[in-house]
Amino acid sequence: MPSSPRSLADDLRQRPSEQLANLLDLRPDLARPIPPDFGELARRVNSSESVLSALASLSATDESVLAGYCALASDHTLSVSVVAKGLAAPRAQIQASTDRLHGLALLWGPTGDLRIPSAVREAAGPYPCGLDPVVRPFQGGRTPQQLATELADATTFVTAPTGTHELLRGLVWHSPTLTILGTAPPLPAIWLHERGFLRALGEASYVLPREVSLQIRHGSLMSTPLPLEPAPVGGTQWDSTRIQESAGHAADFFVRTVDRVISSLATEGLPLLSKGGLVARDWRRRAERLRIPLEDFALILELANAAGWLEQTSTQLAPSAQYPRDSTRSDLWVVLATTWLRLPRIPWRPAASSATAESTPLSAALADYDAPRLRTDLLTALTKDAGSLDAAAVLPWLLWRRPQRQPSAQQVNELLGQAGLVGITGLGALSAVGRALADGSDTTAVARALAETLPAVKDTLVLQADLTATATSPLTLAAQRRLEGCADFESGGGATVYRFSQESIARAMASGERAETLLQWLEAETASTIPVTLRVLIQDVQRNQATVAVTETTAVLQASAELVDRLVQDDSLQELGLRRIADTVGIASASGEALAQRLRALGYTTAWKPLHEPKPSQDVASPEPASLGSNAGRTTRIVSALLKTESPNASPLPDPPEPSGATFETTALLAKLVQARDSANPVWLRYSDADGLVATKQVEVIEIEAGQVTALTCDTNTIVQIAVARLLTAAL
Amino acid sequence: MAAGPLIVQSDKTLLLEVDHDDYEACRNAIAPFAELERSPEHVHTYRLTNLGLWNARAAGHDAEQVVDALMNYSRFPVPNALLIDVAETMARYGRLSLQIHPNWGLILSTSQPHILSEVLHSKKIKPLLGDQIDESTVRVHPSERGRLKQVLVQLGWPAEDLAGYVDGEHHAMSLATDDWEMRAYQEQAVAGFLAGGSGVVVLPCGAGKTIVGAGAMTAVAATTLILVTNTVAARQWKAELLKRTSLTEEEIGEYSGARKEIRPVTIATYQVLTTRRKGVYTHLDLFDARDWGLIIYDEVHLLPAPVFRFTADIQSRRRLGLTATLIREDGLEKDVFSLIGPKRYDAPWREIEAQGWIAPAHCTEIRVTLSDSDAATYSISEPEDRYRFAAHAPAKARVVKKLLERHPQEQALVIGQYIDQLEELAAELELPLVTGKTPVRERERLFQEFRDGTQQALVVSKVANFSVDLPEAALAIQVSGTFGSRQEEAQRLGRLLRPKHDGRTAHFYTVITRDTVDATFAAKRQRFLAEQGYAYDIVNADDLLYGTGTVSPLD
Repeated sequence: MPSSPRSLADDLRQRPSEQLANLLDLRPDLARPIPPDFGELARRVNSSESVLSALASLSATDESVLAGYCALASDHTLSVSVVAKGLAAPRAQIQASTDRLHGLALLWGPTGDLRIPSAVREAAGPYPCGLDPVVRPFQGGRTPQQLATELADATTFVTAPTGTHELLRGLVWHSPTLTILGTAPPLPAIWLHERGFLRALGEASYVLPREVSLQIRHGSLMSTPLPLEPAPVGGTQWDSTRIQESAGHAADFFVRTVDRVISSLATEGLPLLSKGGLVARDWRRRAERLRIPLEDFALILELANAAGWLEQTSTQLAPSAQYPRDSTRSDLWVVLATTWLRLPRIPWRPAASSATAESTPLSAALADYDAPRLRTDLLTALTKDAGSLDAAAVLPWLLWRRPQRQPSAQQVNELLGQAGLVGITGLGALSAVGRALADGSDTTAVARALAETLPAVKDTLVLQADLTATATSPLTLAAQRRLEGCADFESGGGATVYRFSQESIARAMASGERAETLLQWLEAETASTIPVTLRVLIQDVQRNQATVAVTETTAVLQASAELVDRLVQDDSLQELGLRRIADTVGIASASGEALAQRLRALGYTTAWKPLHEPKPSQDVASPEPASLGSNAGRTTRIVSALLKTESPNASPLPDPPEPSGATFETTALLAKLVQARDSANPVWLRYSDADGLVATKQVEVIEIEAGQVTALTCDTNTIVQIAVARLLTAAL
Repeated sequence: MAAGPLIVQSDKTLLLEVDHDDYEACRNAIAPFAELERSPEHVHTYRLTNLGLWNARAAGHDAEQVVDALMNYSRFPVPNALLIDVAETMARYGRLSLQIHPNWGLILSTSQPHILSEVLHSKKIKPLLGDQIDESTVRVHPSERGRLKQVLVQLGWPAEDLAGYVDGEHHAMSLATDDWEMRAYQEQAVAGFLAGGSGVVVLPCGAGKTIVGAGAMTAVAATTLILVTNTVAARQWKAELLKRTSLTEEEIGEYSGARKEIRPVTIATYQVLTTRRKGVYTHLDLFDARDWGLIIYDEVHLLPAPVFRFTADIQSRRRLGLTATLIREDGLEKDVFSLIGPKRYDAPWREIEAQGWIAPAHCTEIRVTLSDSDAATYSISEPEDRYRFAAHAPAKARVVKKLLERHPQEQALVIGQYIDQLEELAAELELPLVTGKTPVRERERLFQEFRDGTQQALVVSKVANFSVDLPEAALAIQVSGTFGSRQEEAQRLGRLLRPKHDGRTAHFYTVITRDTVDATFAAKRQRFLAEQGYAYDIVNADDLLYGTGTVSPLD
């Protein structure tokens, strides 16, 4: 059994690894940068910045309990029962709060003798719970019992000047200090001081002694009962199936809308301001053109950008290669929903007045680092009730949850609107998928759960003589993209309505669509027949269309008309982006090499003719940007490393490998480090040290970030940082 | 989930599947609050608008009813944001109200002073109001009642008008229903109007809007001012009222360029009302000439701007607007609703057709081709001349002749925009021509001969676009039009929609020149009718003229 910790560092050292990992997750600032040892970790735990940040995360209950501990620290051995008595609250509640405060390292030490880090005491102010912390002997050596008798005796105050009771009440329940602003103290103060009920702090100030205050309070630390977790006021209760269906439809519509936005950006990017953010006029026009409400459009752009699906060049915003076009709707949604939860930004801020400018999406002014915390809190609040909740219903809970960061009703309304738009809520109530997200469930499980609630897709179009195409069920994304290319979006939701026009068909023809194939496709997708007006319009446009069309492609495919047909229509080849541009010619968005390989794999005899035969030149291809992979497991690695720093390695180290088998090239070197990190295997690093000498160390990689590798050395069990630029080789 | 017939979209459009078993029930449930936007063959589109929701509130429907209707008939879950929006929008209605106070006259009052305070901050509102009496009451200039309501709607705080309507001078009249009776939809339209006190009734051409007017007049039983487009229409109204009501010749006056009679029922033309002398609209006094209890605006989509302005001043009188196509090329549809009143009744054209109250019609576009030399001339002509050039394509005359030959029994109208083109056609076809220059008496004579059947075909300019009742016309051939006017296309088809005695189908042909701006305009013109479910067939002129290929639509 471990002995009682002598210091905060000792306490941290003795905590089980799960508790330490939990601490680093709850107070992430403690692990940035990674502390080299427990001494440094304890120093950070007790730093005022970190403590203030941790205090801001407390609920009103935990805040009061901590204040209770601080108030009792001067004359009590701190324990749950002492504070429970002081706060007149059930022990179980105080125990739960104490556990949370201990988990946050705002308390430390054994259960029966808890300690408060000094920075926490400082943050609590000089008079926690309005009590003078200093305990001094009383005038005339009175005992607390004598004092109690005196204060309870009505005759004591017979001679008291007018205003004494009022002054005393103020000192008891508000600030215990009195500062004299005039030349002489008021008579009540003189009277109280003369009887030992007020103690002079200096010439012009007094303090109500702790004992006096506690006697008048009857030992109570607070004037009001301990604030307890309020239940959100439930709104309309819906049938659960309806909630799931509603959320499923919203999620489906959101994914489709994001896809439409990305397709639109692929056709024409959105201009960016040099100082960051989108050009207001253009993004407003685009929202109008896409028929997406401005605030929804802003959120979509922010989310798609944060998910890495968009990229910003120096002048415009365009889709990045990271957008997984062929992913399922549920996979796409999970990325969007988790990004929403973590997005440290607000999507858009309209101009406050005609004199100020608005902040358009992607501008730096929209950063809001508290937003993820508020979103998480909101989802937690929504888990408390199964009904439709609005801002009025959840605000009391949010105010209790984080009294130091109180959101406005407008902020909460906006976030509830976003949750509904994304499909986390349905009919205003948290969906099962939203609940899984709030609980931090595994994303694969969330995607699986969502897939069950998403409406089924069905590519059936109702084509009408007014040139509209209505899909009365959700379309596959592929069909939606094709329609998007040849008709104008009119309305979305459960159904999707597009309208054909001369311009929209001309646009489709310009990007390689042919009247025959388009009509063929429409014929196949419609439940009825193609109206004559639409058929003639499509044929007319093709007849009058300019014959020059420019399109970008990476590979050209030539084959018989039948074969081109078959390949273009083969769903299993979708990832190649095949499109027919003439009877016997198709183009692909995949590279020529990939196209040839895929076709050969399918058994087609395929000739691959690169445009430029590779030359045996000295040119070195520029390296692909190295992927540092995900940062999952970071906290666990840190905790494990910290614990190892406490026990020097006794086992002999193997000899370093020969340099020949090692990696030299930066991209490959980083890949090796990522591999070592993710597999938790030690890696041998050769690097040039601060003196320019080549050193070799076997390490366990903890983190690769900002050009630095943070690792635990295997010989001395110390945490070190090595600049990536100084690395020479890495070998597993 | 019930597979309902309705799909509620997040952008507030409602898609209603026509072939669904619950179509009828759903239509009746949503009609009080949703506006019919288009009704093509399979899926009809309705829209939820603030104005529509407020009108529903004014008519006694509440948000719960609206939400219930949407949720009961919806195939997919209704977006929650939309439900919240419906509730919030409807809750805004009636927070302000217009009332008559015994001491202060017309007042705007509220039980929530902050709302009054908010609207009083608007610069547009100030000139319309008098003194503020207390924090929740302000006086209103009686003449600004209409404009105030309009601005309050724009500000999102529609006022409930409790000030009531002026009864007007009582004048007893009744419907003379000895040998006819009002159709169900006409009764619904009259009832809709009476429930609201003012508003617009939208019915297809030939569906009997005059009867709706007569029904409203007899229900109100007060002196009535009827505003119509021209003298011919004025006389048709008069004849119809004499036939359908107890009114006599002496009780109906005509106020036109020719006559200036003011009687208990007075029919005036928009033209005379907007005639100016020395910059003054002298005839607008007609609105004050009697204590009118009802004002009817026929073809309200053509309401001229000065009459518009005056309408704002007569908000205390009952107003009924009648139209088949509430499409204003000037985009003032919203003003029609806020000044005359909201839409009180609207029905899909095809539905009335299915009930047999308007004739079925077949629309066909026939495409002629320019000769090579004409095509070359067309390509180098100035943009402003291109439509005229294309519309005048010589092949059109041959097509018109052929079509008349194909329908030898039908009474036909050849309709066009350009007088020279019509003159040439009239000469070639040896048919009488009716244009704006034709004297009224001559026009009436020709129209009467057409009705009697002694004249089988007429060549007409846009004077016959509307308000001309030619019940037996069953064939119309359009050779040119006012560019892309959707309203004109619909009105022209409307000339054919009076039900035929033998129930036969009417034919509407539009002859256009392919690959020219004529075809582009034609596509635009057809949009309204296509949205009403009239699908056009498209035929090549050569197939018609020389019998090549299939010309099935013509057979």
